[in-house]
Amino acid sequence: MTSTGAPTLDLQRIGLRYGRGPEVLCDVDLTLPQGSFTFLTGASGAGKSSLLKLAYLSLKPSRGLIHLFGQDVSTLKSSELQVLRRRVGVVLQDFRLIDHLSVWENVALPLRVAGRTRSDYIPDVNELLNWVGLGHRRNALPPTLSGGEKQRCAIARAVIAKPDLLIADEPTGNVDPEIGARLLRLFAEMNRMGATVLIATHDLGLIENVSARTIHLQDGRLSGGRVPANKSGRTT
Amino acid sequence: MIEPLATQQPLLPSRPEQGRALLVVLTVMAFLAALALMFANGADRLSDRWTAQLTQSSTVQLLISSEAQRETQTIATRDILRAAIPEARLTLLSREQSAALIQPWLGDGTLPPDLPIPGVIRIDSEIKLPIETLERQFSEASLKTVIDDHSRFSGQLKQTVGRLVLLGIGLVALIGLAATAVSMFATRAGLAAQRDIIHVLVQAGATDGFIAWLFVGQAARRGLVGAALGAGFAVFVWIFISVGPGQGSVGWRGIMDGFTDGVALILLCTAFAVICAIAAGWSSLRQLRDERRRA
Ligand SMILES: Nc1ncnc2c1ncn2[C@@H]1O[C@H](COP(=O)(O)OP(=O)(O)O)[C@@H](O)[C@H]1O
Ligand SMILES: [Mg+2]
Repeated sequence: MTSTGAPTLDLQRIGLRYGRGPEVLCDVDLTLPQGSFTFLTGASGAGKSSLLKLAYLSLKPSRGLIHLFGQDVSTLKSSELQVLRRRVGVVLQDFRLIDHLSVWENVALPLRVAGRTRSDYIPDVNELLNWVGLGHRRNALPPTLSGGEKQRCAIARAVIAKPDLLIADEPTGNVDPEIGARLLRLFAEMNRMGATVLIATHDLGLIENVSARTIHLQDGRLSGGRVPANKSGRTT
Repeated sequence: MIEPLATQQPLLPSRPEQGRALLVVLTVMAFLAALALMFANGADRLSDRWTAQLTQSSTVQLLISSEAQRETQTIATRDILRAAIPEARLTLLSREQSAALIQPWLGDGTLPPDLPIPGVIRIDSEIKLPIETLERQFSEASLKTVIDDHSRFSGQLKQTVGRLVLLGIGLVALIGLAATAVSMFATRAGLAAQRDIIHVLVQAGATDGFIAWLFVGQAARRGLVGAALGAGFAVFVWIFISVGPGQGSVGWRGIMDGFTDGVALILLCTAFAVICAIAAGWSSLRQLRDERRRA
């Protein structure tokens, strides 16, 4: 499966266009070593979300190579891709919670999809919900949650299966700075436990709080995508 | 506070409006299928009863050469029958009774007194007549006879009922085909309506099989409920028709058989649900694959 020591994510000369439009991403090279913590910055419309979509296998690039956990994703069958996707936790700006499922069921979803036994994961889900401060809301339906609660629910769902790669798109976009800082601590905690973290943000204040590698997208081109071998980018 | 959810919530939302409309369609189809099935079963049973009764009674027509010979020839015929099938009950019809039998063919006028009306002997017998032996013996005794064991009639009846049964089975098969199409259509609509949820599931690592299984479960449940309702209505209608006159072995009630019909209906309901489930599974797998190819 994963060759040990291979980067968690490796993008080579990636080009991406939507339909017949112009290239949104152009010759992007990016390596995320195992256990690294990386911020992706860039103005609105620079292509951050598009780059993340490639990373969490929601889009196929128009050209270039993607290696996830050491595997060339273009050669994998759909069932093999699903095994990789289970190792990636994603938090999106619009949260993508399932409205008819309770907070508890939303958070438990990745475990259920992976075929885990329900009785085995009930304590894990309860514990995580308490940790993100949603213990008292576990039977609530997403439409009744506040923005911040929705986000914590989405984050809990992203981390419940202890993903090897955690991707977040503007996670602090619509929460107050207090909660933003708390979220960042959660990501840092996940990173300390071994997860590779990639966060897209245009919130420069967020970046100042953590000493981590920062890469920058401008006009579809990425700067700082390659790291020197001695610098893992892990948070300190 | 409610303890978290001992039973897990279904991943696909129940869409009450669409679900109800679909359930009505499935119920009506199952109702028609159940009626067609009971109809085919009943027709088959009825023809069995009729032919069984017909073959128990036969007639021998004796074409007498003249009225003067009626008595001797009738007795000769009876003796041959009695010797060949001793266990049969023989009834000799009088000239008047025989004339009454052929009246429909001759019209209503009074018959000329010297017209040689054929003699008729009715035979009631559990066993089948040895027709060839009888015919040989009659001709050896120079008796002109026509033996009618109703086999031609019952043959025709069997053929007609056979076609009715085939028609019933054809109807059931057609309804099964329609149920397949309806289930596939509903699954496609469901996949389109739940696109957002499917995306979340895919991102969480759900395989095509996992997602298709959700639709299979939904379709099977819906198919089973629709089939049970439809079959229930059909049974109700059947029983309703059965109330009132029509008793007796070839009456309306004679063509019912609670146990066999019950088993057939349970099999029908099961088949209905299975068909819906297979159609849903097949079409969702195909749809998911096609969408991935387009992406
Ligand atoms: N689904 C899409 N179809 C067409 N164009 C898109 C789509 N998504 C994004 N784009 C375009 O790609 C560019 C980059 O978008 P995006 O990746 O969302 O940037 P960012 O996340 O940095 O704001 C924008 O010009 C946007 O209009
Ligand atoms: Mg974006």
